[in-house]
Amino acid sequence: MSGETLTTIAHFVSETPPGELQEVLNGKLELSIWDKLADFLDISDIRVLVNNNEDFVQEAIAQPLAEYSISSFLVIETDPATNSKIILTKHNQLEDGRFVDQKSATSFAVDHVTQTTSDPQPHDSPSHIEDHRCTPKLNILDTIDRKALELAIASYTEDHYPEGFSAVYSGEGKTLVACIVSNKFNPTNFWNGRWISEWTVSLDFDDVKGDVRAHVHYYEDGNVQLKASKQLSVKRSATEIDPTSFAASVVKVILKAETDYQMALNVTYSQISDTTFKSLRRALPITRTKFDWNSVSNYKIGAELSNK
Amino acid sequence: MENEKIEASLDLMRRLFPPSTASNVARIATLLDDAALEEELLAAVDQPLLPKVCPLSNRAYLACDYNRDERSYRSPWSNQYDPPLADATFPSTRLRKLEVAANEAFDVYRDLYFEGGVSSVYLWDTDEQNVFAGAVLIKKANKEGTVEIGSWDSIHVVEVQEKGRTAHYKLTSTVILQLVHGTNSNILGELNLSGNMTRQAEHDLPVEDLGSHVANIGRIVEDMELKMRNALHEIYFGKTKDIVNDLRSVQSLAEAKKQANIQAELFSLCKSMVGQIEKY
Repeated sequence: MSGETLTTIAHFVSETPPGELQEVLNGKLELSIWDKLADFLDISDIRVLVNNNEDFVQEAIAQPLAEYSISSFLVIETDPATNSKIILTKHNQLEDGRFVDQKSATSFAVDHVTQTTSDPQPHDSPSHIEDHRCTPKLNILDTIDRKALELAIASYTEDHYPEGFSAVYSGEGKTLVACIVSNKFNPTNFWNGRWISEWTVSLDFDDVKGDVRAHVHYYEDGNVQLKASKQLSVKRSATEIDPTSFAASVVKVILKAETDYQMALNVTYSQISDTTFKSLRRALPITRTKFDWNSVSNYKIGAELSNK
Repeated sequence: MENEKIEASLDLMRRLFPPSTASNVARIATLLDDAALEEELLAAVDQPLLPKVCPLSNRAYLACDYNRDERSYRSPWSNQYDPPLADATFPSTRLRKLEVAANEAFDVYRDLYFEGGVSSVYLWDTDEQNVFAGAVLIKKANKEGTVEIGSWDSIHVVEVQEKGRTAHYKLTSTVILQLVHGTNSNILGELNLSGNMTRQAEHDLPVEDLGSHVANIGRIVEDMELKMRNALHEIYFGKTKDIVNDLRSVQSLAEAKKQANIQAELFSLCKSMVGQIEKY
């Protein structure tokens, strides 16, 4: 299989709308199978494919799928018995490709094709994450608890995301990263959507930086997609003295920033509808009457055609 | 097998990001690696129309698969290919007359509804007897460099079966609508609302002379564009917005639930009071 084919497949995976990975994979495989892989494959079912040709998966599918899992904040079950789940992000990915669940101090191997976890191993996070000592700059704070922020973010998520799921992971340097993902898949009515919020909270300073993005796909009789994103930067109150009030101060500014953004988005929808959409095509001509095709055919066209 | 590949390609195109249509069609063509299938794919996927200027008439026209022969495009105004092409395909004299009339009529129509833009009508003979086909194309794009970038491409493909005093019109219409807003510097950040929609319609209409086809096609295209404009408005500004607000709720969900409970309580309280009053 050529490098170009691999790049093409990787590109298609990266453009996959929320919740449509299987459809894209099957479609793409049908395309590539017959010409490119006919020698060693005669099946279009990706799951069978995994068992039959590990090399193919490693080469063509595994890497783009791992990237897709991370960029789409894939929520994956770790223990069906307790209904435990983790979000796959770059923040909790280990160098060997495994993912950490800081809540249970466990790491897992992840199969990005079947979207399952296996091989749980105990994993201790570095101590500064769980019990972070602040620099003198904000010396009112003694310890900051990742768990406190995780609880506060979970409760915020529950209150504003009907299908939301969240986690707080340790970020680069002295930061915590709050990750929220909300998916709604409704293929029977031809639409799917995803909202992702990724907030990096500095432990030393009052910076709270967000990357918020939404992707909606509506595909009845067509293909309409919304992609909206915004980088947000806010400041939290830095006078809190305990983990719980620190967490509350972070959630307070996240709530305001996200709500402001969402309301601006709703206003912009009306603006685009009133200005850009209307300027492209009017509902009726300025005369408020439909086009007079009779006069056209009677005069111009009649004259033109009677000259034959 | 061949159909399967085209079907898979079209399904893929229905899922990939609409603004990347042109590059994704090229990518799929590489995977298909088959000239005949590539032609079929290009004919089946509607792509944004390419405005060009006719070197003979100096008028703008639209280039697409319907006026393409090899790598040249035919201008509807001069009926000449650019770049010039030997042994090129042209419509019959009769159809060319109709094509000239249709271009003039839709040029006026475009001006009234789009207040700008470019239109082109192409007609061609088919292998079937008494059947001709055509494409009515309109493109309007607002100025680049403004905060809001928008473009509308109408692609109406019509098949006309002439039956003496009537004709059967089969219309397949696609509108490609792209709306892009802003940069990260403003409050909204980046927003891209883009896509396409396809609808079909069939009509049997009376025909007096050749000129009747222009008015008949004109009316069914006008009706279709109005319907599609309404549907696009509903999907772009209603449906996708509702889904975003389904993903995240501006209002506190706990608060919303509390209010719903209070309303339910009030309602049952009123009901029981009404019941008691009625007893007396």
